[in-house]
Amino acid sequence: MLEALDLKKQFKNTRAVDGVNLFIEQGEVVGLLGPNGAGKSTTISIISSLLPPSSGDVRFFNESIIKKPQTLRKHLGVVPQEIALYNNLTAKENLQFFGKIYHISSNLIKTKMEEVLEIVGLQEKQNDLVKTFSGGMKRRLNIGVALLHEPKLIFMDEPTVGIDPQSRKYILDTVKRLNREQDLTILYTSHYMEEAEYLCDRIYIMDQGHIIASGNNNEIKGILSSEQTVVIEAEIIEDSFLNKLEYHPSVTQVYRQENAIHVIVPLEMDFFQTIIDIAGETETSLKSVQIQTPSLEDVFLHLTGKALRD
Amino acid sequence: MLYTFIKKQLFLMMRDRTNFTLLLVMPLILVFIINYAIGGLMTEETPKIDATIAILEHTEEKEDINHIKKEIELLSLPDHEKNEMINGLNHFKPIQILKQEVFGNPEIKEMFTIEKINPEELAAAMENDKYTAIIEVPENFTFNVVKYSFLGEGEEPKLDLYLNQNEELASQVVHDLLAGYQEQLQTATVLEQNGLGDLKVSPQDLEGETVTISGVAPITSTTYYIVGMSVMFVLYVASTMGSYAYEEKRDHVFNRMVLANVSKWTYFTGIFIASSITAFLQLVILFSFSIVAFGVSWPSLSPFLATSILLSFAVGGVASLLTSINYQLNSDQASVIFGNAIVTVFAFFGGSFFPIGGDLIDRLGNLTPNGSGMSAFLSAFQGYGLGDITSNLLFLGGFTLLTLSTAVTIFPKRGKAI
Repeated sequence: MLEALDLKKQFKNTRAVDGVNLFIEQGEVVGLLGPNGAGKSTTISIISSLLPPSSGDVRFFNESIIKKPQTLRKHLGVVPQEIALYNNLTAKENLQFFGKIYHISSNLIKTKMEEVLEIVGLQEKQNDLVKTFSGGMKRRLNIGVALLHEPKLIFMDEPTVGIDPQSRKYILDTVKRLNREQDLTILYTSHYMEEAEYLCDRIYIMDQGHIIASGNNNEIKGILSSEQTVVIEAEIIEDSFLNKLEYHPSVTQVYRQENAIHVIVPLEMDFFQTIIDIAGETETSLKSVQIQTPSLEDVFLHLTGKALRD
Repeated sequence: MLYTFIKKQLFLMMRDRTNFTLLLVMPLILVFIINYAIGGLMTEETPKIDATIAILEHTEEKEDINHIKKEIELLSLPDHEKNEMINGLNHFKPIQILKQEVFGNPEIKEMFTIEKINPEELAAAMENDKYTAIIEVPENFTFNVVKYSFLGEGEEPKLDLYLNQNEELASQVVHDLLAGYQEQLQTATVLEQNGLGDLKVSPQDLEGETVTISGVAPITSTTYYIVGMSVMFVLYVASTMGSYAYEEKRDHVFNRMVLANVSKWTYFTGIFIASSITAFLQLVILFSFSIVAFGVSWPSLSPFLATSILLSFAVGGVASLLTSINYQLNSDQASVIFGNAIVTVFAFFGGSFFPIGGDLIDRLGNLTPNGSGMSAFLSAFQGYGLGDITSNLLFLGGFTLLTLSTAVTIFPKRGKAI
């Protein structure tokens, strides 16, 4: 459906996108993951035709969109990371305005608005000014605007940033439903690995302008198939405990996530006793130690050396 | 499509309380304050007027009186009636009354010096700033007044009044005195026609706004400041619209428009038309309110409408230009600087705060949209027609074209505007 071929984008002294190749098939949900500054948003701007690339091509149904973006735009919905709405208009007025600029006829627009308001669960709030909405409601309307002209393909750039867990779940379920029930093709970027695991058929991992890994969940996790993750919880995590783990010769990687420490070690190694010993030496009182198969987060860390939300 | 853009822009404007207050309420408050301040000055302090008025009489009043006496003698009336009418004439000498009772009143005399001029001196006197006003008494004025008053024949004669616009206050006083005088003369006519005539005129009676004299109407302070504040505050429409446009870029709403295949031309036309409509509505509301609140009236509607429309277009042009600059700079600094500094400078040179003299400043003022608009509005108030304000209208049209074409030229190309 859509493919990006060797995309590059140079901004003065910075190469934001450096040889990106990716494709999206009809009906797929594809994840684009990467830390801040990885080049995800620039890539989305290029493949949505907002920004011309320095070199490379983007093809929509085998037609280049670089010089003729009109066809792609007609079938594309974009949910930007920012709340791209008029705060001083009501939800209904926003939908009416954006529907009109997509040339939806006055007769049809009412029906389309009702459908969209139902999808995003804002029927009751349609006559309220957007500035009175919670963050989650604004995010839902942000999605609704992108759905109004019945796109075949939709790009969602971190649509769940900064919202409460309930709204987040609502949005994720909505995305999943749109894909299943309306066969909507979705490119989804996120900081949340669990969102990608939940939604995406395939994932691209991006760092410093490059695609550094791609495949479905299992293929990506397979990158660490010869390793295991040990998750340690402690009352207080001392720096000395972390240092000893990091400098241990068998440890591939150590990172801290909230109150837990994730240690990646070879699969064949029995690391349990080593942890008990290090805890004893550094007087760290452990709460739990679990052995897990590596998650996407672990793979991401392994590949980029950075946690997703850094 | 354009209708959608314009509707959206007007909704945004109406729901923005700060800007709504700035654009509509603030100019009215300022006019109220200025009007109150000037009103206080006029009632609480004696105005210091030292002015000279020229009177040009095409016929001596004495000759007119003799002429009418002869006419009365020839009438086929009983002798006692003729004598009564001739005696009545001794109390009915309109020009003498004007000179001795109106301008000869001690209070008025302190302010005005009367000088008599000859017909051949009229043209030079009109060019001369020495005179605050020139009162031209047409040929056979008294004869015609008496004939009209006593015999009900002919048309009501009128005095011609020429006012010096550079002496606003003194001109206004002369205008009011003469308007009152004319009114008293009408009253006296009615009384004479009913046999009750004995004309006495005092300055206390000389009030009222009835303008029956010919010549150019003067501009009152209230009118001046209504126009001044309106043409100044209409410029804020441009900075406001420019800021809204930048917010569309900042909030990525503009990207949605690009993705909907909305062309740069549609976007610009939307901003231009919405700004022009807003500016026009603002002017209409402000002027309509001043009709109700201050009793301001327009001698003719067409120059007012033409000026309002072209000034609104000029504001639309500025709004488009500010939008382009904001998009280029990726900030709303252009709108902020325009709203905070340039409007004030334009208002100063355009004469919104006070009339500034001097040829150079006057010319500079007319090179600003507000200054040019103000000149045209004031001329319209004075009774001038469309033909007399053509240069101002052409300037506003040219200014619109210049700002619009510059705006389109400097608007960022695809990919730079997002």
